[in-house]
Amino acid sequence: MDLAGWNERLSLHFASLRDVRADRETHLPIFALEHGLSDVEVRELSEAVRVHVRHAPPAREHAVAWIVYAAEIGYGYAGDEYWQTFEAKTPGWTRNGERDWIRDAFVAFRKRFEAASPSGPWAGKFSIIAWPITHAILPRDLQQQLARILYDLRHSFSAELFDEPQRLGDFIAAQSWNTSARFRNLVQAPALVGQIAAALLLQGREGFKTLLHPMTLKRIGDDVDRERRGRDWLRGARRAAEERAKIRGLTIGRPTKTTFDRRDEARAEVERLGIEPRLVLRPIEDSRWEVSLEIPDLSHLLLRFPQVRDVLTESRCTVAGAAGRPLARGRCLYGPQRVALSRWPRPEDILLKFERADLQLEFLLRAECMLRPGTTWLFKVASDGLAYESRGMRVRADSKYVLVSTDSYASSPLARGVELTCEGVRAVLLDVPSALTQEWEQALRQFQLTQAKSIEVWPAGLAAVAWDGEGHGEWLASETPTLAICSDHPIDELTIAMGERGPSLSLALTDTPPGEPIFVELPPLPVGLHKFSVAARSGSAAGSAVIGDLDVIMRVREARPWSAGVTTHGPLDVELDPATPSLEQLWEGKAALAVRGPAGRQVRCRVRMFVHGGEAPSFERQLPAVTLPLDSDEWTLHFERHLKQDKDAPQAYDHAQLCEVEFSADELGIFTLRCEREFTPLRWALRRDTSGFIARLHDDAGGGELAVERYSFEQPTIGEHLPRATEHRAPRTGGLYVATMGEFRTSMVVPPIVKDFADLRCEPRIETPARTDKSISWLVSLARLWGDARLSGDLIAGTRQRLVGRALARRIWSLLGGDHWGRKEDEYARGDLGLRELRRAIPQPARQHQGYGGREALLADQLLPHEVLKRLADAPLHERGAAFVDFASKLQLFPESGRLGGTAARSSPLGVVRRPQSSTWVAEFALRMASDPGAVEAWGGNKVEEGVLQLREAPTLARAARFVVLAVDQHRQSHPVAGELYAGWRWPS
Amino acid sequence: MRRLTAVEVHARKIRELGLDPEGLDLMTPEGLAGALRRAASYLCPCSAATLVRAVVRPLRGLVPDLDHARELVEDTLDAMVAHGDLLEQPEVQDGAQSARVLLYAAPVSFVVRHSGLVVLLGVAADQLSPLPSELERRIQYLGHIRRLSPSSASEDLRGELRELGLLELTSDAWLRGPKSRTASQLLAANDRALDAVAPSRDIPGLVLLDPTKPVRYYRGRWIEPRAQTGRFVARREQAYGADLWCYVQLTNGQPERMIDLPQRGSRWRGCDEAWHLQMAIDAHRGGAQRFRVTPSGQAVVIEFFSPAPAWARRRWDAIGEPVPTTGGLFAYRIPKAEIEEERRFVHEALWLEEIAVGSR
Repeated sequence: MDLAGWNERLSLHFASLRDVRADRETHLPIFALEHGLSDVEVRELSEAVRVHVRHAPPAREHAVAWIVYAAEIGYGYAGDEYWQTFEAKTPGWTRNGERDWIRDAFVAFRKRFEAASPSGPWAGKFSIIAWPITHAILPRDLQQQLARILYDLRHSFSAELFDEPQRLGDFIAAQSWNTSARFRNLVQAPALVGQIAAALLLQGREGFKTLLHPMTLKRIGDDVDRERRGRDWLRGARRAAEERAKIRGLTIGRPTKTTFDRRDEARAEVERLGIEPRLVLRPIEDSRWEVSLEIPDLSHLLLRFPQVRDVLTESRCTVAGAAGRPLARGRCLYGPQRVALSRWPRPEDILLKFERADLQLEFLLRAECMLRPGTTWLFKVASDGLAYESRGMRVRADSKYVLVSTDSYASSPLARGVELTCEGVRAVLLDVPSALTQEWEQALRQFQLTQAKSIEVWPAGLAAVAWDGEGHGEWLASETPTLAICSDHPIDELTIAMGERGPSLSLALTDTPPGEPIFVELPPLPVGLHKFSVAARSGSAAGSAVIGDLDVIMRVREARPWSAGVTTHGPLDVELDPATPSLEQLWEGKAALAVRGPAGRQVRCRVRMFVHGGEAPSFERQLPAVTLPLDSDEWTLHFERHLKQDKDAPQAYDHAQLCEVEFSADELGIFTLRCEREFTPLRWALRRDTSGFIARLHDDAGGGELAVERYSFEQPTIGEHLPRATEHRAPRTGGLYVATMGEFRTSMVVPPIVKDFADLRCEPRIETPARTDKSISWLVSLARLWGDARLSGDLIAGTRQRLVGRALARRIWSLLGGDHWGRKEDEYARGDLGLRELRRAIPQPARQHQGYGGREALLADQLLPHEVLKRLADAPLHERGAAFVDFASKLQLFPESGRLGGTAARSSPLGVVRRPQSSTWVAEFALRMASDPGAVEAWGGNKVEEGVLQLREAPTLARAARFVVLAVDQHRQSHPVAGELYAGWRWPS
Repeated sequence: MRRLTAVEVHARKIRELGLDPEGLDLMTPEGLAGALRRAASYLCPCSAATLVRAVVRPLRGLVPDLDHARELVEDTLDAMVAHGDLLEQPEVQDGAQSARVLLYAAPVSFVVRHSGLVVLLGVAADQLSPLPSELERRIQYLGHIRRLSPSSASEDLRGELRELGLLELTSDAWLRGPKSRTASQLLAANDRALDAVAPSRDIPGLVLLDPTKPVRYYRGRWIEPRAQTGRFVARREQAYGADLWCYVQLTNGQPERMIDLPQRGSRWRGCDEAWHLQMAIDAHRGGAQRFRVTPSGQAVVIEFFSPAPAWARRRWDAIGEPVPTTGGLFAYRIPKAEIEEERRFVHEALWLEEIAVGSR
């Protein structure tokens, strides 16, 4: 059949498919991969396409055939490069074809056949290849991931979830935050993913027969089955889907929406999710109690509010009142965890605050993540010794309580003062006797407490997920709660009612003596908040009186999906920042990784690299075991020493698409970190042949004007324009390769060829520009250009990047610190000057006499003395920062605006409205600028210009900051590790 | 919504645990172990006391004696920790290790025996089972132990469980004990460690395991220090936490030196090291601890009078089933074919002496 014939056959097929699918209420789109052709026919069609394009450009009358051809290539796409594969498989395309033509053909196909349209941010970035990849439905490399995620989610399936593809897709998207970048792109079109998933799970069942063409579905299913793991996952997920598709009203799929029209609706939804942090007190020593906050698993928020996903996954979280570092990105999504508080949160504090401000998330968190309003909180001491917050301010006889208040307590002989490891509150211990005296009753009134009613309720048989002892509890949606109810007075009737129209039960209990519990099984409850009212009556029906009543608040939630590996309730704890680091971040030391567990235990560590996922590894090494606990700096050093310096590792890295790092410790568990190559529209790759390095530009961007430049190490501020080719043979001296296309820019450091020692020598030359804000800004942008560049595996690439980065930093500080400082720093860099002499170049602060009460002038040597610097060098970064703030404050080094921390706005010389920053911000800016100017923009955003102005106003502060950075670098007595320009100065990104 | 009797509550909850209400209730070892695993799936990491509380409280009104129930729950929990469902480890807070010991949920894992029998270990969050329902139905519950037997000679349970994401622990890793030593060597190693520490003063709440007391009544061997001189396995109080195990040197009842157990970097619990050391002390003194073997149909029952380290109990968990004992501390029924190997192990690794058949 010729190409016209194929086109006609396919057009008829797609038209028929469109009509069938249009019958569904949901108007599901069709995909090019649903072509209905056999393998042999696909091969024949492909051959017809190739024959045509060898001699002629693609024609509109063959567009549908071309679309099927492009989608078939998309089906095999694995994230490397689409067009390279396309061109290799289609001889003549480079000469006769145009990428834009393919996009136009897909757009026309969508219009004509109501076909799928790519959506989401990735479709904007990859504006052409998004079409064939979307129309490939589920490219092979993503199939296993979808099968796995469906398996993980199987316990949460319900009929409602399968009713609307969008809802199922949202659900999958919410659980995909830690999958590969490619999979996260896929779920940016949730309706399409939902359609694919529902088809894979339920195809063949009534109502699900037309989700995808049966042949296409079989093909995908067969490909999933090729790997046993995928087959088992899909089989398990299908089985659960078939069982649970019959169930309505129980789980996450109940009628709901992920966008809420009214703010109060959204708040109510958050309340139902059960994400309220819980306060717990723990006795630690004589009369002292530690206060900790149990942070809930926020992954439930993702399900209902996918729009806050980016903040939850990509932003660190500060816990109000906690003294330690912020929680790593994504940390709140792995399960509950406890954080010790050193300060009682203020009533207006949101207990969890994310670094990246997001008004929507903040609004949602205000619903549940704040302290219970008031000035007093009651904690019941349980039999395990811990004290759990009791929400009603009620106490029971023969029980112990800790009462915590922000106010002072009037003294009472019945309340013993106890100390908390938390500022801002006072606490007393109440040991309530079995019979309350008048004195006790008075004391309880004084503390605004009441005695619990005569009726008591508790979970019977098996524990609830949580139970506060007084009527508030949490269960899983899969459970059938049973309650025990007991009264300490004789009762004749017990009534249990669930809302006004809900089920109720009335029991005559004439034969039940006081104190004997009765057991009540509740009906299955959907996810959400439920209230049961329990009332006990005595007397005959006509004259009965309520002698006790209690409201039971039950929160029913989804179970967290199980996945293999390390969990927060296991003994091995792995902290990653970012939560899903790329291969480049791992290699370049830009991913923080810490492993915690029993101190002294050895953990084995294995690294494997893969050219293609799913294939045998191209590189495998067992690194020496690490000893717990392993902090991030130790890991970076371990990885650098034992992996990056392996002679085969650099080349393996250059070719790898995926790297797996596995930590295993027998019964403690296994954790596998998977790092994939960054998935960007424009990226460099490097290969080496006998004559040197060749930089190849991978271009999956949608089009635009391409510009390529090379910067040499010797003259790192001058870019040399290169031809707009995709392959560039690098000179022996290497350099920085930068490609720009529209809004996309990518850069890579190509190392020099090193044959002898002379090749190792390099001295970057940077002319000193005029001392203007513009010059500083220009140098900072160059530092960023060099700092952001990807590194090839060859270690010398990193060394050269650091060399250039340091030279740029020196030049920036010669502008900020003045000519004299600049000269002294150059001498210091050459080794002609020691730290002691460099310190003398920090002039004495002009205001020292005010600061030191008129004492004699401060000598230069007293500024940051040697022993202080030595101590600081080994201190963690945040302690060093705090010490610098303290030092600069004492010496009044901050600029006027910074010192005052005021809010008045004023204009900069450039006309920008300036809002003075706090002293702490200025100090951190100074230290960041002094240690890694290329990264300062990513941290400071649009405040960088303001920071520069502040430093120019306070040159002594600027020089002091720079001096501290250089001194710590020297005192550390170790080379900077990956990700550091100066030793000891690796800032969290 | 309906009222249930206590018997019905037992039956419903046993079924919720995936167990058979025909033969089991919430007070059987299987029921208690199931309830503990379920509570651990919500609460871990937590103290043992927290887990015990979570299981005992809901039994109020369902069992005649809550104190007895608490004892049973504690015993079952001990057996589960020794078995490897839960891991006892020092608490890690902000990267630093504290003296407080917590229970962590072991990852969902399995051990394959030479026979093909699979022992299941660990606890998944929110009590979700990673196993498909047909495998779930095939689990055999024997006390705190969960096992799976291949349904046919060709069934590849190992492959299937690995594919499902369960972590495989090799039998050697699971059963790994300390390196083989004689009782004298173990004692000497601990004595050297004790010699090397600085003298200690008062140790609050110290209780000793008295080597002179009869080895067949473990609870009766615990005494408070009075005028003893020598080196003892002991426990000492910890403010607001479980007692700590130690090895202590006394002169006239006054502590002079002390080392905490487990020693740093050890993979064993404090009690494992302490019980093993006591076995060595008893054997060295010529008063070795005892065990008894009695026939029981096609099997034998091996019975112990003192606690044994986790690595020893796991052997019997793997090949036998826990059975009640009268007069002993714990017992297992094991196949006759295994008994000679176990006798050898008990003699060589634990230095125990067998009580002759017929003697009580």
